[in-house]
Parts: sequence; C-alpha cells; structure tokens
Amino acid sequence: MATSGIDTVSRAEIRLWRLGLLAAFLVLWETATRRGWMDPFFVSQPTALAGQIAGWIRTGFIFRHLAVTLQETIIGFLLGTLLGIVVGLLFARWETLARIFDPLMVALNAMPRVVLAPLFILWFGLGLLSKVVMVISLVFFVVFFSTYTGIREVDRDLVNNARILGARPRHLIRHVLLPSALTWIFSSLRTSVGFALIGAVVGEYLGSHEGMGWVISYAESMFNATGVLAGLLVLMAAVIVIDVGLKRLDARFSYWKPIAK
Amino acid sequence: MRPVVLPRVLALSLIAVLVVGAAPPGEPAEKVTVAIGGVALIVYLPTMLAKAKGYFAEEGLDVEILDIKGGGSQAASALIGGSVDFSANAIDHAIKASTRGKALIAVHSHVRLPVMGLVVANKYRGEIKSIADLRGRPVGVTSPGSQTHMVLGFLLAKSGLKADEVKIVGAGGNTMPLALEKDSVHAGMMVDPFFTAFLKQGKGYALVDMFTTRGTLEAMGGEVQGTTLLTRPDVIAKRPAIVQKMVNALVRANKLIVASSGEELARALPRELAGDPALYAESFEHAREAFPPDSLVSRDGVARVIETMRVFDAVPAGMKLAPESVFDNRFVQKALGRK
Repeated sequence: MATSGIDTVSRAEIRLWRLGLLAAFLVLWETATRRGWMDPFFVSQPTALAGQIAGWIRTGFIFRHLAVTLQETIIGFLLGTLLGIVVGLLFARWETLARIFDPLMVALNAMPRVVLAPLFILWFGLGLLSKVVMVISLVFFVVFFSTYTGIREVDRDLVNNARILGARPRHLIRHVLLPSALTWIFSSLRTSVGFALIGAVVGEYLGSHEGMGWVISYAESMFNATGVLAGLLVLMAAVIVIDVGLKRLDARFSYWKPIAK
Repeated sequence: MRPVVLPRVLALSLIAVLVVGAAPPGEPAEKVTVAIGGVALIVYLPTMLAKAKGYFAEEGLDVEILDIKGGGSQAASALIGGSVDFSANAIDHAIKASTRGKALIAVHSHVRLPVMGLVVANKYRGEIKSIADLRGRPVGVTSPGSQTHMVLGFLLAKSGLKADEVKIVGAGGNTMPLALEKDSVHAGMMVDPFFTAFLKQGKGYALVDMFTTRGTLEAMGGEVQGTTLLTRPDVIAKRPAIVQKMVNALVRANKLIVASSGEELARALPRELAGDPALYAESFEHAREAFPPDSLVSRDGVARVIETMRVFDAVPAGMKLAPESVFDNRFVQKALGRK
C-alpha cells in the first residue's frame, strides 16, 4: 500500500474510471450510428445488441447453443489439460524422452491448428468429437510447456532433500514436483481457457448444426452484424465467468508455494 | 519536305492501328472486379465462360475475378463493403441485404433454376423415401444461411416439417460427399459437380432434383430465380456504361451456352475449372435447362425465393419486400436490342 507515493488513486476511483470509460464508449458508439457517422449495418449499435441478447435470453435460444459450446470446451479443456500435465511430467522426469521429442513438440506447436480445423472435421465428423479434438490440440501445448517448465524449475535442493528423507519417485511427484509446478499450470490454464473456447467455436463455425459458432456463422451469412457481435459478447461473458472460477481454484490449491529462490 | 511527311505517315498508321485494333478506340480497358464464392461451380459458368472467351475484353473491360473461399455470402459481403464492383451470387443475398437496409441489384440472370439437389446416402434407401422421412435426421446444407439452407427449409415446410424437426448441419459444398459417406449427415443439399459425381459413383440417390425445370416445378411449385450478377445501386448510378458492358458480355455468354454441347463448354474453360471434362460435360447436360437464353431475371422466380426465405425468418414475418426492388432487367433488354 505504502509503496507508491505518487499514485494515490483508490480502488473505488479506478472502478469509477473504468465504468465511465465504458459508458463513454457505448454512448459514442450509439451516437455515431444514430447520427450516420458510422453505418450500423457494419458495426451494429449498443441498443440493438442489448435487444438481440435480451431476445435470445427470453426465448431460451442462446442457452441451448451456449450449452453445446461449453460442453465441447470443457471436455476438450479437461482432456487437453490432463494430457498436457501427464506428458509434461513424463518429459520433465525422463530427460532422454524430452531430448528425443523436443523438435517434434516444437514443430507440432508451430502448426496453425485453426487451419487444420477443416481436416479435423473430415477425420472426426461433424459432431462433438471434432470440436473436442480441436480444443485438445490448442490446450495441450500450453499446459504441456508450462508443466514441463514448471517441474524443471523446481528447486534442486528441495528435490534432493526430499530424496534424502526417503521420498520415492511417486512421493516426489505428488508432494514436491506437482505442487511446485501448480502455479505454472494454473497460470497456463487461465490462458488456455480462451484457446479452448476458440477451438470449439472455430470447429462449430466450419461444420455443425448447433453451438455458438453456428449462431455466429448463421448471423454472418444473414448480414446480421448485430447477431455476430452479440454472439461474441455472450462468449466473452462465458470466458470471464470461467476465468473467475479458475482464479478462485488457483487461490485454493496454491496454498503451498515454495519461496522463490 | 521529307521530315514533314514521315510523322504524318506515322500518325496515320497509328490511327489505323487504333481503329482496327481494340474495339473501343483509344480507351484503355477499364478495370472491373467480380467476387465469386467458388468459381468451379456450374452456376457461375456464364461469368467464367465470358472471361475465358474474352467477351469482357472485347467490351473493353479488364475483369478480375476474385474467388472468395468463404462462399456466396462472403462474396456478397465484399460487394456490400465496396471491395468489388460486382458479385456473381444467388439472388438470396440481394434479398437478405435488402432486409437489412442495403440494396443490391441483380442485373443479369446466370441460371433460372436452383441448380441443386437433395441427395440421400444409399444406406437409407429403405428408410428415406420422401422429404417427410427426414424428420429427426441430420441433413447437410453447404453453410448455415446459404441458399441451400433456405431451399431445404422451404422443402421441409412444404412437407409439413418444422425447421427444428431436422438437424441442419453446415457441412460445406465440397465436403458434402464425405459427410454423407461418413454418416455425419443422412441426406444433404448438393451442388454440382458434386451432385453428378456422387450419383454417378452410385453412393446415393436424389430425393429432389432441381437441376431441371420439371424437378424444380415439382419440388418448389413454380419458378425459382437462381444465380445472378449483383451490383450496388451506386455502381449503376455512377458507372452505367460498365454495367451495360458486363451485361452485354454475359448475355452473349448465355447465348453461347444454350447453343453449345457440354464437351464444347468443357473445352472452352480453363483446365482448373472444367476438372474432369467428361464429368463436367455430363453435369452440364443435366443442368442445361437452367441457363436462360434471354438472361432475364424472373419476377416470379424472385418472388418465390422471397417466400422460401420467410421459412427461417431470413425475411422477417410481416416485412413487405417487392421483388422488383432487387433486380433491374434494363441492361439485359438493351443488350438483347429490345430497349
């Protein structure tokens, strides 16, 4: 608190600033489209967006599609995370494995998966599976690299001390390595939630019969900019809710943190 | 005297070259851009043929065709946004744009039928005998909101099915055959060359065939306007000469199409468009009736498309939309010499 002598803006004031800026942005947007400075055909307008979202909620239309997208996102996210942690752990424990597969991992990660999406749809069909695979392909690498780095960053002395005290490899993993890497893993999870949703939506966008990607693609082909932006806003809200949840989880699980250096 | 004569000879010969050479004397070819969502589809044949045969060039136009990967809607978006001067597009896009306050005008009719079919995978031969049998099944359209989607919705409604009684899957135009083979969809709306190829390989059967006049009348109960050349009102207002030249070339192309055999057309097109020439020829002969010899946009056909689009509220209930507001036949009539 006392660290900053110059910047004495309180939290309430910051919040006020944020709300004020948001309100100013919305008012400007609305005015610009009403006065004809900008064409609502291309950029929609806040009142139209609010109306669209309210309509979707009233008819329940959006919940069905959001549920489909979240299902794909969550299944893919959990599997991708699990796979990322397991492979990251294996690589961190067996150096040889890491040395053999390192170029492959880097190469695979460099591949633009969004472009691969049409292929996933051909291989895994138009249903849930292709979207889940898409999400896994995006989430896996983020979690894998974080886990790998996280475990390798664990204090050598700590590991050696635990060994001297008689810790077996599996004890080591459970009580020392994983807890220390948890901070890394959690920070990567919050990044990868966004990726997971992108994966699901892109998959739906390219081939599906339901989900937010379908909603957005349909609105787009109807030249309905309001529908597209409203769909994006709904997705944004979903990501924020998930992110807050993960933040809470992070706070609960990372009670045990090694003191850095 | 000599030094005077030589320039005069030069000038005369230069004029001679100009007069004999390019059709519009003196003027350089005007640049025109046309967006198309998938140039290989047979419904775009008039534009592609006019380009291949040099009809646009003879009108003094330098036509650049942009193949838009996202399909017809994206091509129409490019036109609305002002990135291109024309788009070869289903009339649907002009109607959709009009419901959102943007005018697009059809100035030439490429095809006067939907030129698509509803195909069922062979394994459902015993189960799916009519459109009503599609209840509860996944059915493919090229993309949500596309013309195939609207026409399917109309067919379902005509058979007494509600739109949500069928799972409508955006399966892509060129990936539809695979979606059917992999059982991702039980039936699908197919365009050509995929329709002809799929049936020829014996992998499915056509429940509805709207490549022919008879099939269309049976399925839709009347005329249906297909693909047209679209442009914006400001292009018509500011550059009417260019619109006229485009239409002249396209009217000529349609005349050539109705007078040609499939083999001749496959030969006239660049290799990458005709693909397998034999298949292309077959596909053309099947869809031959779709090409209007007079190139006129049909008022009744447009009216029926507006009706198909009401099924999914693509044209909102209660919204009045005059068919005349989305097309303008003056250019075709002038090209035909009728005034």
